[in-house]
Amino acid sequence: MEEHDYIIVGSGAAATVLAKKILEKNPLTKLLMLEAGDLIPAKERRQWWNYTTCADGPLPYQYTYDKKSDNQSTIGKDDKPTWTTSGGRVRAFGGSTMHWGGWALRFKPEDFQLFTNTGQGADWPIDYHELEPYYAQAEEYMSVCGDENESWQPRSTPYPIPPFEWTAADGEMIKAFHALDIQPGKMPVARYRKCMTTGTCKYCPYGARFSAQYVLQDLVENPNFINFKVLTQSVVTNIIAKSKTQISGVDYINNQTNEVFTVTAKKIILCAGAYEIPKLLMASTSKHWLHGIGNDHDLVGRFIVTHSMLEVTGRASSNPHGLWQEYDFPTLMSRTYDSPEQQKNGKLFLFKDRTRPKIDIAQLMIDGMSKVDINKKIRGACEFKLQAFMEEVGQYDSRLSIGEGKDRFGLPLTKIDYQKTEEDDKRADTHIEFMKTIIEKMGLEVVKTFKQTPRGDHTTGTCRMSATAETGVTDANLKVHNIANLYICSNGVFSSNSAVNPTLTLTALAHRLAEHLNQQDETAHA
Amino acid sequence: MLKKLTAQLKKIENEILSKTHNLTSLFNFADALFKHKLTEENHSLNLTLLKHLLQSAVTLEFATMPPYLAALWSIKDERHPMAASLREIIHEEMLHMSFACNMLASLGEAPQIKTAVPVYPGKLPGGVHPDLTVKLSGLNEQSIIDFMEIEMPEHIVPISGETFSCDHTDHSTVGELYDHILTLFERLQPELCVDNQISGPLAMYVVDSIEKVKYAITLIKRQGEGSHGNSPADTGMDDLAHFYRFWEIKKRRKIIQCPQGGDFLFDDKELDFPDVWPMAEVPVGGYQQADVPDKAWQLIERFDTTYSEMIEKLHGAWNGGGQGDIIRAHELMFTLQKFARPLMAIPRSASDSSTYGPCFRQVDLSPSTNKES
Amino acid sequence: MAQENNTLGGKLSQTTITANLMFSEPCTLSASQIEKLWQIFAHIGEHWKDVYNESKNLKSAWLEMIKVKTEQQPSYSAEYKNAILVIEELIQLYGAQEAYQKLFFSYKVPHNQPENETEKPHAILTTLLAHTKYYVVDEFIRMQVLSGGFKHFGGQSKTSGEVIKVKGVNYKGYVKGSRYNNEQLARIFEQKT
Repeated sequence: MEEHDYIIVGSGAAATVLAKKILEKNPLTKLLMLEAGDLIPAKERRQWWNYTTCADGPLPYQYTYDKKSDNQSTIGKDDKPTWTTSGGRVRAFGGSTMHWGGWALRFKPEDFQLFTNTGQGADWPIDYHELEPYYAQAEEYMSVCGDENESWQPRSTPYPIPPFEWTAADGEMIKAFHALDIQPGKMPVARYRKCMTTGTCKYCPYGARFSAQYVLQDLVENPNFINFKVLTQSVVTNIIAKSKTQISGVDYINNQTNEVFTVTAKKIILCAGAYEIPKLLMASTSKHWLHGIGNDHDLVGRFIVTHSMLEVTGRASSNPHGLWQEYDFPTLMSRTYDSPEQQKNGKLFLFKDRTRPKIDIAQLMIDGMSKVDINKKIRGACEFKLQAFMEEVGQYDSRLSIGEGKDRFGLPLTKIDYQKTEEDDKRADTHIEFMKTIIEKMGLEVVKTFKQTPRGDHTTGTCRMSATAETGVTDANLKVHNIANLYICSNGVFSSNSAVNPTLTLTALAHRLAEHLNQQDETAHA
Repeated sequence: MLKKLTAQLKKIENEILSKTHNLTSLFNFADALFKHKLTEENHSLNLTLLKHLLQSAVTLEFATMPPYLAALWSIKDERHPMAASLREIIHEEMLHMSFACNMLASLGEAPQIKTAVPVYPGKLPGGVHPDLTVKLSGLNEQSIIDFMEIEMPEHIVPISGETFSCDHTDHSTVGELYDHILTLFERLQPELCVDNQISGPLAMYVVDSIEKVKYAITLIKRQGEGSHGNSPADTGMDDLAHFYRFWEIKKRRKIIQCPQGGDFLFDDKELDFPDVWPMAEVPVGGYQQADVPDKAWQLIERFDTTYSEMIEKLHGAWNGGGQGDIIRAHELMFTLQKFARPLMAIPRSASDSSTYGPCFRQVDLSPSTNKES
Repeated sequence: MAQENNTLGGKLSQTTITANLMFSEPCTLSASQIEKLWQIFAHIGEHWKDVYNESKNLKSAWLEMIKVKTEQQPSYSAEYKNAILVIEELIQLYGAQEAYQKLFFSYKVPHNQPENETEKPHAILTTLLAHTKYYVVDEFIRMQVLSGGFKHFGGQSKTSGEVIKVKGVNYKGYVKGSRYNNEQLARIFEQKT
């Protein structure tokens, strides 16, 4: 059986960076990528027309979402699951950047020292400054459009592309921010120059919103990378431990034929996301690893945490300027409360809901409204919405484990035992009250508040980085503690969740890991 | 008279077929034709001339893009203001080409793009600025002068009292070409057909009336060389005509307008010239596989293949393929820089600091000629 | 309980059928069929007085949509052919102006009323007329609006003496993009100093 240089499990944002950097360094690397999902074509014209003109505008990757019926999370006091999984991820070639919004924010220096600063959670074994150059590489790689005048955190290079400007609809909220000493900022988003601002980012017809799928497709088509292979519909079921400190390969099932294969490699990198990796580790039991690989201290799957979205909706009695949604991403945000001072009380990342005011002219026409009436409605009452992510701290008892049964991809179902702490609940209420003051400052009437049930989009912590094996699963170089050749690169390795989206940080970590592996390979060959 | 004119046109058409024609002969023919009243008899001569002029416009607009793209990609920092300016110029050239294609399609004639691909180094199609040889190179002093010559208006507005001149004396301009096109449209008042025209991101609108033709031509001339009223900037000082944008790059100075007199001046503040790849002029016929290292050849080959696919789609857009083809062409154009930029980083030899660059060569895309990778 | 609204059209329009998209093999419509469909599209512009004069600017995009929806699975060919026949019947019965007026402004596709408040009502497409409205007219409306029709809504309004232009710049699906250098991508917030 031929031994590969690398096996990468998963094909999303992290996997693609790693494959790209490793192959660019040595084009003949024998690299096998195993993806459980299928290849879903991007930029396909019929799909785009379906999305924009059909009644429910289907998206071609929605069928890969977790089904509600697969949810095996704890049931809360309100008889509803405490954690929702549906809609949080895409299982396909290229992974979840197929559907992401492209918001690309760096963590801040204090996020890497959560425990030191607050006595809660954990510190990362690396700090911001160590990761900073890789953030710069990640921003270049993902073509992040950002404001060079912003100073939310130290940076060594400017953004590669200027930001998208605040829209007119942001105006009143910007003024309210200023009045309350909240600094407004421009949301950094991952968009190439060819962006045509169609507002259909969820399935961009031009491939302008960054998606790992495009990069991966280029790698597959590159004639130089003759030993690079991606197998889709290939579900990894077991990691094979040759010894306590060495992994030899993986077993996987071809979902189309149900054949089982065993493949070997010098190094294995798990990039299958914060849900699948801990389940795979736990499932990979052997005489060397009785409780699953890397799980001697029963930490795999623990500390699961995500962002719960908080929302406050305000109603304006009129909309004289006829404002409506113009982009499919928010342009206005603030990190004033995403600060060292706020960290003890739970950070808050504020942003204006991009979809408000919501005026669907086409639907009004479909409903038979005349032009005169539509014009009146445009200028009539409307809503604005302020949203926020609140930082939560991963708890020991919040854990992900293997559920009962398998999903339609052949992956084991996910069980999540999670309960929001009383402290986080109170914090959320306090934040909501604060957000109401902003809405009221805009001169609006608060009509609705909402605390979202945690959803898996920003899940972190399930294989967290730590200085020692007793306190985490991976080390500072993302290597599973005490195993020479097994690495994890997913949101699961984050030691804290911060208040912002994880993907840019994940991409930075992937760049850093790739450099580390390339240096190792160079040393080994020398 | 009609016989003489018909024979004259036939001669021109033979020149067109053998690619030896020039715009001067078309303009002379037009002048001769305009001396006579439009009649049923000479109507088809007028119409044929218009179609030839429009096809020349299509080919000409297309021909400006490769040298501008090469110059743009040679700029290392894509954020540099000069890169932004060049990018805007290229966007507008694409728009101009689309308008020219739409105008031709409005007459029921399919624009020819894949059969009229320019080669470099070479003359501009149709004998525009016949003394100028257009090359593919990075952004440098000579390429800037060449670009200024391409966009040169009939009447140059002095900037800080300076004017622009070059060694070449024959300057049949792009503006003159469009003047003749407009004259013919107004003369003929043809019925314009919307089918096979493209509107949208690269073509703005379809041409379905003489007013729209006039608007399109006015826009093309204003964006390229400045307005008829001799202002480089009647759409604003941050949206100068192409000729003047190139002049800013050449002088390393922004053009500003004097509030009192309305005169245009070069600002005192010097702009820094961007760091560029020293892309060498692409030789006649482009680089050959035997002469370049493998790494460079792979990029050159992939560039040429993608460029040829882009040309196919662009041609297809106005030849039945419609909107779908132009979107794909647009995407392929963005893909080109993926090969062009790394290519420009490869030195041609240990002793030569200059680097390789894309050849913009049209290659055969049929499967039987594809090499195995 | 479904809302009944079957008072429009004749025997053909009221013919019952299943709700799903009518099955048809991918095919290329004839020039005459395309032209008839185009008339439906052009009438949308005429009745809402937004893009009629500029409908032609939308034609290349509209043709692409028709092409991909008929030549790829699931094909809309049968729905489009049905729509042509239904419209012809309506025109025969009411005359063109009134036929479109009724179809656009009076006729409502029946919807169910779900018991669960959080669920959206579903369309009940049991007649050829309902199919025409749902699969053809409604989709043409969405296409038209996203291609620029939205720009014609709003218009000038006076608020405390100030004339405010309400015209939209961007909309979901509209290709605004970066091609026209001196045009804004969206209505931007202009900070008054």
